[in-house]
Amino acid sequence: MAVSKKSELKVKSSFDFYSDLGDETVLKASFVRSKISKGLIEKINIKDGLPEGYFFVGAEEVKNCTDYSLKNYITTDGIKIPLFAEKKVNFEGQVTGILFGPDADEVEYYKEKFDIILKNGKKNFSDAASDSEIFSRNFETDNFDEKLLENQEYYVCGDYSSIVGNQYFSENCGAMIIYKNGKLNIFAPVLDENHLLSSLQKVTGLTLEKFSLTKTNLSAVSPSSVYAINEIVCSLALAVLVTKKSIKLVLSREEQRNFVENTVPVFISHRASVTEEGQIFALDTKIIVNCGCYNAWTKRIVERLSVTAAGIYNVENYRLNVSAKTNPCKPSSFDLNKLDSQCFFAVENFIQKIAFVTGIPALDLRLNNIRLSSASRSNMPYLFAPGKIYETLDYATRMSDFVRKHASYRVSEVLRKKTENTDYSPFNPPLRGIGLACGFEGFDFQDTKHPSPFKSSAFGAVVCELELNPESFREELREITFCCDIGKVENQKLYTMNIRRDIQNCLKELVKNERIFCPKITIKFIESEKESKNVSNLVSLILPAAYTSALSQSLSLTVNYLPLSNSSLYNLIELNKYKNDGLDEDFFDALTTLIDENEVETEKVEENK
Amino acid sequence: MIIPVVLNGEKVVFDELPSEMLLSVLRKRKLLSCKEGCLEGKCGFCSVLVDDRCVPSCKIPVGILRDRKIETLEHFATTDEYWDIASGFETAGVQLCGYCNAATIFAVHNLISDYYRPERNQLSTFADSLVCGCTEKNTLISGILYAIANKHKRRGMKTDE
Repeated sequence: MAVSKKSELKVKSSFDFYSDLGDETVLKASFVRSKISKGLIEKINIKDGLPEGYFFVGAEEVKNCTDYSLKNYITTDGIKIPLFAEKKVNFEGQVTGILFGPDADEVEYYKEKFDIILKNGKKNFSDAASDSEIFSRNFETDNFDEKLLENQEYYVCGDYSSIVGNQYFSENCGAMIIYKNGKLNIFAPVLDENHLLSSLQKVTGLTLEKFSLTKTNLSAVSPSSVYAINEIVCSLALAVLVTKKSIKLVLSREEQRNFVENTVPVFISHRASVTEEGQIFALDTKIIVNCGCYNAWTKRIVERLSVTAAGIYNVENYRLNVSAKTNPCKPSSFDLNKLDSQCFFAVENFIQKIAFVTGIPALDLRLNNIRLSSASRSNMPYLFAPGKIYETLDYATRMSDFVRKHASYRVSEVLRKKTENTDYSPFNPPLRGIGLACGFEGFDFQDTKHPSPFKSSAFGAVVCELELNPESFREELREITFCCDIGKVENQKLYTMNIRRDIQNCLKELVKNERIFCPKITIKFIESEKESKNVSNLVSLILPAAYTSALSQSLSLTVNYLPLSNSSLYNLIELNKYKNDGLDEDFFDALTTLIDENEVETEKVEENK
Repeated sequence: MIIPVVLNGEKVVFDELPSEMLLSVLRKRKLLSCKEGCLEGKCGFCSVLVDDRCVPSCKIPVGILRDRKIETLEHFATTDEYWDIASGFETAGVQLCGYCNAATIFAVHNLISDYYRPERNQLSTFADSLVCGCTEKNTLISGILYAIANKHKRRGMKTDE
């Protein structure tokens, strides 16, 4: 292969990031946040005042600015979200204003001197009773009855929660605004410039000509950062217009972790009755999503969850309840792919559990229950567009030898139980498990009540095989097989490279503060002459479910949450031992709580490290 | 405190508090190839070479750097060693995000300085240790192998041993 001459080497410049821009005239800013969860603001004080050249802009300063018609809030989907806390503080970490000055270290020093006096202030306020439903979506097939869940051969239920976030580092969110001749020159890693400019116009009351936007490099594209950057730029714009200074703000790593990379917590509960042949006869799905204090995207979140709640499966009798709750917690960021991932995680693990309970092979169970829009009869709220679903599943399972391995590991599992050899001894052979998960990416669904045109999307299946070292309580991935219906493949090498990178990044998110690796990754694309389909997030949608399914089989118990921590496997095994010993339920519950607390403690210790 | 060092081949004097971290001192001097990342020494975005070893500058107080040789990516990019790596990356199709350039390039420089020909599992462990999510592991490993070949070729060493 030809190699470029020295002078022509193309390594992406590392100097086009907003955090590298600016000179001495640009003031360094930091958000002043409330340390209290809830209360009415009486006064914001700074001991001994601020030195010359340092400024603070909060709701009061914005209100008193007469040069412009500034608004201290942004409106999205009809929800007003304050940029600086006005009369009350609603969650710990809420921004009360921006402090800025020529020296970044001094800014941090004076920030600590801020005293926000609150009336009826409450620290660590979290009262479950204060949770209130702000939006919900219900769906029920005709004549759905609670009894339908009980009148079949099998009854299966499961609760799932997968709150995985980014565990890799990138440039922290922020922006720089240069104020010159009444014009705002904005430098920010923006993804959606129209959305940002529209928000800026509303917040500042200025016309479009008053803004000049320069998009800087993005080190990692995350949909949640779109919203965060929007808020940061609008807040900065207010501070710039009040003081007529040029300002740059970079979030700290802690702020980035707490306010940008936090994922909307979703709790999903499935209950189903299953026929002897493996047909899901009735399914009751309940989803609770915690939107935090404000969430402009609540409706979209609920709609999206209701689309993907049942995955690709068709059920004759179906009841769905998605409920969005608001509470005095920090607002969670908005990432549709993470929401999809949470739904697929729940439903795919649930299918695996049904396979475990009924003894029906996991692949057969899936094939029995797949839902297609071409189906002659379906009661589901949304239909899945037909694609090469069967070919994709067939390839994925054949390449990974899924059917044989799944059956073989299942036999070992049953034998282990029969011979009561439940000890996890270092002298025992490793425990093996294999998991299958499938799902689709994009908006390729059809609302049966309100038909809408299809767009192209991809269907994918992934098989994950692992073994558990009984000595170290560590799982070791053996193989991941990924297969997807992708349409026309224009650049196979690039697609393969991106999928491998996505798998690599997804694995990083599954265990907190730990990184797991897979030595063998096999990728297969099912091609067709149709247009290329978007697969950019497919891996992160389905791999977590395949991983926990495999882990569940190897441990002979259900792993129903993510991310795991260092001590999760040991704790789960311990818990299972007590369960097998037939301890009474109260003691078992108490033990579960104790182990949960222990895990939280372990995490804290790891974080402090 | 006055701290004389050799920065990017030139003798300079840092007039800083000894506890000041090297990262902030370098960024003040507009040496922006070292980026702010985790500030905990984990991500490596702030990497520089100190006496030709890759170190996280966010964890190095300048007080301990008296008479040390410090090299940032701006200066390293003018050397043959950089060309070996960048050219190897280009051949393999490695596309760094720009934010992790210093982390990846200096870490690779360390690796290929320490090992004449690293074994496959060494390369695999090395690639796993990099935290940025922008590069696929196998592509990176190919890039390193090309970089090693470039280095050997340039120095007239055996390339097919």
